Order: sequence, then structure tokens, then C-alpha cells
Amino acid sequence: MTLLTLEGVSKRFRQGRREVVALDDVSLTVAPGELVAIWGVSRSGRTTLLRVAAGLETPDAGVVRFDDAAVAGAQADGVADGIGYVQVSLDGAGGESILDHVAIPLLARGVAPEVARARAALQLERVGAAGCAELHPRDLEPTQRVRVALAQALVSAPRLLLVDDPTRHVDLLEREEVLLLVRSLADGDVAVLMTTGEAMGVSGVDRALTMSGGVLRAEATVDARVVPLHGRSRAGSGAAS
Amino acid sequence: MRSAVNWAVLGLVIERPSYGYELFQRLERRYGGVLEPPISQIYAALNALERAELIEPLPLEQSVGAAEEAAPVRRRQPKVHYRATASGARAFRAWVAEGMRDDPQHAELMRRIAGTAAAAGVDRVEAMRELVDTYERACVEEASRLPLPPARRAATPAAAAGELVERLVLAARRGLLDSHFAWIDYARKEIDAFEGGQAARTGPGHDAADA
Repeated sequence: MTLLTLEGVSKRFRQGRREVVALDDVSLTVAPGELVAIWGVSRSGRTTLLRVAAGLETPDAGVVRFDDAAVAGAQADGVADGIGYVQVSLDGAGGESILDHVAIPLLARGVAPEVARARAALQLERVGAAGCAELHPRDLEPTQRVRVALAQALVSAPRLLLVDDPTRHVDLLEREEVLLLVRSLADGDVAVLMTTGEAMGVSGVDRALTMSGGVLRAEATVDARVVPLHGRSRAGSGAAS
Repeated sequence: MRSAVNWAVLGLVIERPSYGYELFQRLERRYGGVLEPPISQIYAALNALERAELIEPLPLEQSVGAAEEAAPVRRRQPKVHYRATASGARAFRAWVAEGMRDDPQHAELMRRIAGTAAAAGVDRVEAMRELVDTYERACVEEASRLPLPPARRAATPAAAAGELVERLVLAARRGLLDSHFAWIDYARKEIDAFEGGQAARTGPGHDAADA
């Protein structure tokens, strides 16, 4: 079964007089509950891939399907339903407190403020950031920013998270905690498509791909028989169909 | 194919077409002290490589020394010379590239790949591109198989020290992989730039936007 499908997706941008190929005939699937990492340096096309998958960009060619329905590109109201797009940068974060900030997607849908805040608090707890609820967005450490960004994406109960380089600004010694958190979300049946620029970001995933020049290059599927660390079972996380 | 002797024989055949006894001698000279198989194993390797269609016998008249063999005075068994097939050359390059990530001499291996490609009549730039692709696959496979470091939750100082050691070992392996990934990215850009330069020299048709 497949949750997300990209078929022959291409995307070009104009940079001054130059045309840049951000995605070149990219095909990819993500299964429910699967954790897929894409290794690539910045400007490899990895962020465009996530934005196209989310429906934030319209591909020049190819098809994006989520849950068997076509994802319309450049949606005015944000990402496609059922998808959470995780932006780690909190620039322009709304709300006076982190709790309000996390609740915004629900408030935007007309959920009553007290219900929205209660659900936001639950998600902050889920990602280990309950202590940040009353802080102001500008007061967060880099690791807390990632946790809060994940909470805000999770508050709409997505089945797929698109996470762009979650450890990029995180302190070296705290990166594994962020990655373990992402892994635990996938184990909790939220599929994750994540980009990374370091080998650690590929550790412990179900499937890893590399990207450069807008092209998906190599792919490695971790054998389900590999004994996982921390007694975690991956038996149920098969490769994409 | 797991046998190191088979790969070594394949590498030698790629360098130049050869027959059993000569391969035995060349292998002894090249790998003496490391690989010292009996000659029977060389013939077994040739059989296995031929079955896998990685090498093929040269027509007899092309085999070096065939004319002399055919002389009526002393009839000897003609020596069958083998040459590598295209898939044999490709398999060998892929095998060497896969081994590169574990080998501190990896720059040396790269030269060997380029050398064997040139000997087999394959474009060296194409061989390098192939090498980068295979190497990248091997690196991403290893990176995805590395576990995340153990959490810092040991109950005793001894267990905590054990965790620390494991974390540092993992960090060393990841660090190497990061440097390999950086090299792969760099190599691809160099190859693209080289090919772009070649295309510009040989005429129109190159799309600079695709660089």
C-alpha cells in the first residue's frame, strides 16, 4: 500500500538568466508508517521535493498523489489535507506563546480556542516540549524549535509528515534525540519523509535515498530482520509497495 | 560472487586477455603473500567467471601464440585465452567501488578502476561516474544500517562508560561516511564540469542550465 506517490516529477526555477533544474524526473513512494530519509546537500533539490509533495509547489511535469488523490500544487490554503509540513524556522511564528503558536492550524479551521489549546498541549507533550508551552517563540533553543515545529504539524493529525533537515541547527549532542523522536513518530504510524545532510540523519530509517542535481540517485532499504537498537521493532514497517 | 580469487582473476583478465597458467603467474607476482591459490583454483575461477558471463574465451586464432601452437612439428594443447565481457568489466568496477568505503587506500583503488577501465576500452570519465554511483549506493546502505547511538541512560558508571565507547565508535563511522558523502558530491560536480567543458569545446548542444 502506498500513501504518497511522486511519478516523473520535474520542477525548474529561474534564477536571474539561469534556469535551475530543482527536480528532474523524480519518482518516489512512501508507505503508511514508513520512515524515509533523503540525503542531500543544500540546493540538491531536496526541499523542493518536500514542497512539491506537500502541494506547496506545482511541478512542471509529473504527478503527485496522496492517498490515491492528486495533490494540487501551490494551494492557497497551505499543504494538502492529511499532510504535515514541518518548517523548523519559527520566523513569523504567530501567537504570544508557543501553546498558541502550535494551536494556530486548529484555530484557522474554526476549532474553539480552548479545544485547540488542549490539543496543542497534548502534541507538545508528545514531542517532549510540554515545558515550552508558555515560552515566547523567540526564547526557544534550536532543539526545542524542532520539537515545537513537529507539534504544530502533528496537531492536525496528519498521516504523513514532511520534515526538512530537522537536525540542521541542532547542537551535535542533541541531534540523536531529535532523530529518535522522528523515529518514534513513524513507529506510531505517522509516515515520515525527511531530508538530511548528514549520515546520522540516515541512521535507523526504513529506507534511505540520496539526491543531487535534482535527481534521486541511490536507494537503500533496511532489512526488516536487522535487529533494532533499544528493542524497537520494525517488523511492521515494510518498504513501499 | 564472494571469492577474492575470482575477483582478482577477473581484474587481471580485464588488464589483458590471458590464459590459466599465465594468470597463475601474474596473480602470484601481484598478490604474492596475500593471495596464493593453487593453479587448480585459477581454473575453477575461470570456469566460474565464464559461467557468470563475466569473461569469454577468445577465438583460438586470436589467442596469443595460437599460430605457434598450430605448427605441425609439436602439437600441443592450444592455450585458451580469456577476455572480459562488458558486464565483467562493469561488475569488477562496481566491486572495487563497493570496497572503497572500507579501504583507507581508496584513492589507490580509484586509480586502479580508471586503469582497468582504460585497458578495457571504457571511457574513463564514464567509469568514474559509474564508480561515484556505486560508491554512493554502498555508503547510503552502510549509513542506513548504522543504528542511532544508544541513549544516555545507563544505571552504573561501568555501563555508562560502555555506552560512551559505543557512541564514539558510531560517531567515528558516521564521520567517515560524512566525508565520503562530501567526496561524492564534489566528484559529481567535477565530472559534470569536466563534461560541460568538453561539450563546450566540441560544439553546441550542451545545456548549461542542466549543470
